[in-house]
Amino acid sequence: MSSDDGRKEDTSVSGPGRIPSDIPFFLGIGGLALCYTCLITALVLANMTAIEWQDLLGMWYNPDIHASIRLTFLTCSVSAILSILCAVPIGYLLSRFRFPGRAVIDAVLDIPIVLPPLVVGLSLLILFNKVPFAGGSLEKWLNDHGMMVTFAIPAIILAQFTVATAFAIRVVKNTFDQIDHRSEQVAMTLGCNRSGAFWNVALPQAGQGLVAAGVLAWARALGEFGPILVFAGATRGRTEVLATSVFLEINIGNLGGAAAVSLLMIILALGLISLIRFITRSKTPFL
Amino acid sequence: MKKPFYILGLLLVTLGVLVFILSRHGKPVESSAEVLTVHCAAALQKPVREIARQYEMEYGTRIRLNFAGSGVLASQIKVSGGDLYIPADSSYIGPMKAEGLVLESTDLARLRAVVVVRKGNPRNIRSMDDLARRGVRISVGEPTAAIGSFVRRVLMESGDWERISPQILVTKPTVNNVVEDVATGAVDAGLAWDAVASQFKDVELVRVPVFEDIPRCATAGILRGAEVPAALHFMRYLAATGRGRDVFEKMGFTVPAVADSWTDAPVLTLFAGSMLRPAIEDRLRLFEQREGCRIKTVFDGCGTLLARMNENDAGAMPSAYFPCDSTFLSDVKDRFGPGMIITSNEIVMLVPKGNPRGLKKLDDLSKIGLRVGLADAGKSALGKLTMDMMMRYGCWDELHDSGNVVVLASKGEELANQMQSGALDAALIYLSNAMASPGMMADCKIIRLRQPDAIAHQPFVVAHDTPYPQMVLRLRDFITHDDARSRFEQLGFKFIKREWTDE
Repeated sequence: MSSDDGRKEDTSVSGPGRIPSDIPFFLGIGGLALCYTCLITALVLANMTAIEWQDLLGMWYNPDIHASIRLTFLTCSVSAILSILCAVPIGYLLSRFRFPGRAVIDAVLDIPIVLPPLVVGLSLLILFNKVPFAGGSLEKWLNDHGMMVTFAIPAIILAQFTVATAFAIRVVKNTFDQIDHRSEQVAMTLGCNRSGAFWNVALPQAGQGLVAAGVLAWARALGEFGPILVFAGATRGRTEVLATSVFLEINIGNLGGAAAVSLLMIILALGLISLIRFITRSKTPFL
Repeated sequence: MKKPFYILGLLLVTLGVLVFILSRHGKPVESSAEVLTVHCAAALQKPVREIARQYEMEYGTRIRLNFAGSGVLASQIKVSGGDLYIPADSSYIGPMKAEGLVLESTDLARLRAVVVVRKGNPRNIRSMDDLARRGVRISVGEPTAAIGSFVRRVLMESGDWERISPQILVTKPTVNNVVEDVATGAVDAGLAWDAVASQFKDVELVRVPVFEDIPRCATAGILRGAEVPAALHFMRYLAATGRGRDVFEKMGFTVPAVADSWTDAPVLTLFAGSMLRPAIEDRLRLFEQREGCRIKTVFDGCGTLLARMNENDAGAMPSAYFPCDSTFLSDVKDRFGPGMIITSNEIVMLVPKGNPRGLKKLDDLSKIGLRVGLADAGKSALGKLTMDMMMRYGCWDELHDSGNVVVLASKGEELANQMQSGALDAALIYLSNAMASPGMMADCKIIRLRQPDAIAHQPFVVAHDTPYPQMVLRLRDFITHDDARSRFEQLGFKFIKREWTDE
């Protein structure tokens, strides 16, 4: 609307070189930005109004929440490391090479991003427990070999990893896309092979982006809930991560407790966002 | 230029360390302190959380609380076990007791279903009819929550369910969620427990007749495989006056009229007819170990026990009385609550092996030259019953005149011993007296009298003024549990176990 107004103004005013005012434009985008920021701030504040001191104290002294925080940090870290180990080669592959089927792979890798998280969990559950495998099902086979996945901690990691990796791959691919691959070609003309160029030239330049991808994967893992609920269950003290804690507290009508845990997650999220900012802005190379 | 390799190495090492730590997650590390797992209905969240906190401070035992709908908990328990189960409605306990999943239980608080509306009742909802009005938004509990299954059951019977179900906007997993919905204004009315709703500031309770006369009872049950006596200790704490019961009351719950006082390790006194000793002695020791209490048991002839109670000094009143026959209650009836007839036992004639004097009936006891042993009518139920029986039979005077009665014992065991030593030719004792001593069958013969009035009924009664009425009832249930039944029957008792008020 405001740009229309600007054009009308433009035709009515005579004289060359007269630039119409930028104010409506800035008001427009500024206003929208403000509205959305207000919405998010209001959400955080609303969440905080539901919290009383007792809830914070309750959370502080609740051993179940302690276990939940511990498990969240451990699983998110494992998932983030696994994600980055997977995402770097895949991102590099997609960024540097053109090969038949690349478009298909590219699309498949986006599935976890667009799929409702619950469906990821359901599919994992079915994959492990329903699909025929040696000895009945994959889960059965794993159990026979001393491993438990479904409704256990590995299920949490697998659920987080599945979704977080998809996001990490996007970031890693963008990072490599932005790095001119000429320097790698130069390295190869100077006697490097592909592997050497990757390790010694591409990776050091991508450092910041890779760390950012790792932090993003960690943050995604933190926010993961749907697949964990379905695939790992929400058993208090056993497969309870922070997102599960919020769910469990809501389920028993403890709104204050749920909000208190949410606040903790908001603070964690803010910290992670700032960390990504700091990494991607700082000029010092990380690798 | 090898830096990326180091970082890769570092990542892998970190991964290894994290996986190692994770593999130990959730395993019990705190072996020093005891931990009790309590599965509790979400409706009781506030009081039980508070009581658990107090208990942890007082005794250092850690209480792990798991809250959810009562039905959800029941299925969780079947998978994962635990120590205590506290549903919001005792109807969840019954089936679990029948399956042997719950052993002891105790009532904690009463809950009534009500209609919950926003403060000021803006939609003017006063009855079930108002709920059925168009445009009224209702929130109810899911069937897996005690409140959900209860209101469904009641309203389906009354026919209201069909009328209000079009207005039900949402179902929630616990009663707390339902009240929360009303408090936030997301719905106009909710069906919830009164005590839970009264904990919220922004809501009002509307009592409706359909629920009013059927209060439910939140009950704690000890799960099979629970840590005892720790679990029972906490269960007693939950219900005890001065402890858990006060917290429930403070938070607006209606508490049961009778409750135990709190003592770390209570001491009960039980007066029991001596005939019962072989049947219940072992079971009493087991109960002590299980509950962590002490039972001071006085086994004696019932007349002697009555005399002790009538002396009326402070220490003489037992918490429970388990006499050999209900006739020995009448004198002290006002001090005990209604009881339960646990068993019956018949009086038999005991003669030496082979029955050398050919005794068959009660008349035969007056035969010349017999040495007959009877129980003293003043000291024991056996004596009293024997006397009444013979009087009715019409041979009491005859026996007395014959001078055959050489012993008047204070209890049946004495007569059994004298029979075995060969000092008597015949004795009238309880079948259980005869069966209790292992050597008896080798030396003596039991002659059944088949007199309808030669049967003693053993009632178990609880003293009005005992500080531990609930524990005494658990004691009763424990010594008369089906597991104990075979012992009674081995001894010749007949197992009856029915409510008993007066003769």
